[in-house]
Amino acid sequence: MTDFPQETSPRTTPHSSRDYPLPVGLSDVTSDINGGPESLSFAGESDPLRQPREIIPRVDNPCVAEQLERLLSIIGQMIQLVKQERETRERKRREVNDMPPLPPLPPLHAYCDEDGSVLMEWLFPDLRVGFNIEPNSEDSGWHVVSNKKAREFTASGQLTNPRELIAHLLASIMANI
Amino acid sequence: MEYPDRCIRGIPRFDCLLEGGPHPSLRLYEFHRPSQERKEWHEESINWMADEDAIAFTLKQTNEDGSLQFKVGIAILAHIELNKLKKHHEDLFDYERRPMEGNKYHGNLLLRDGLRKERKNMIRSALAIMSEVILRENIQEKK
Repeated sequence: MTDFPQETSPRTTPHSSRDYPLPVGLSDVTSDINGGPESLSFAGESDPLRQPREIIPRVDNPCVAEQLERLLSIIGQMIQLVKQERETRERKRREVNDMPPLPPLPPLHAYCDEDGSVLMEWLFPDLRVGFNIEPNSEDSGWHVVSNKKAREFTASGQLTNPRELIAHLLASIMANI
Repeated sequence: MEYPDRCIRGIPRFDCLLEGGPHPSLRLYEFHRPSQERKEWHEESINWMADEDAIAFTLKQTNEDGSLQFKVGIAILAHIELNKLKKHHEDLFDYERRPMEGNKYHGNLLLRDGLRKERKNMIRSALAIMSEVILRENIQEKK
């Protein structure tokens, strides 16, 4: 069971990640109300972190910029690790059957909010992942929501251990695209 | 209270969509305005689809200067999805019908005050993932 660090939803709430782990093994990734996976930017983007990296120089608050840079670095490292694992898995799958390669990760979108924070949104066919980077790092956080094809869960928490969080998120996401 | 099956959130600006595409950003559900009726809640206006004219009415709504309020288009949300979100987060999220002078369809999505931002964003994101975006140009094409 996937168990997020710093998860803040009450344990009694059915919509917490403790009750609804990220759906590893989900095979149907077609989306209903938000369009199919082809409407996401799966193709033509070799670096999913390009756009957030580009806004770092435009972030006024140095503490926010530093956190953003660090978080992007962690996400980048984790993506590399997961990619290696995925490539191994793809090779095995192709040996068994001539399956098409898995699509690349969609781009992460980042923008500066009016209050000096930076918001990042990462859209997958049935999931949305978000990060809010705040001037006070203790206020920075993350959230995940999914639609009914991915069990309709919601989860959020403080961004106090991003490495562990990103590892959990990416492993689950990659298993489902 | 009885609710129509769906409601409409007007899309005023292209930055309410991620890179102008068909997916809402969190900016579509900002909840900047304190609720006029309920203390400790903020609201975001919607129109309930009480009849077949609700979409056309929404698309014709104007700002004080006469310009179109929802230049980009609309997002449709199903009441059943809103209800599920409310049941799972009763302390965070609610909605209401609130007809007003000149707009019988009017209502609000409501978000509790005083939440940590990631909790707010979780609700905003849940609204975004359940939204079906229809761009104005596509609606006009269908006519």
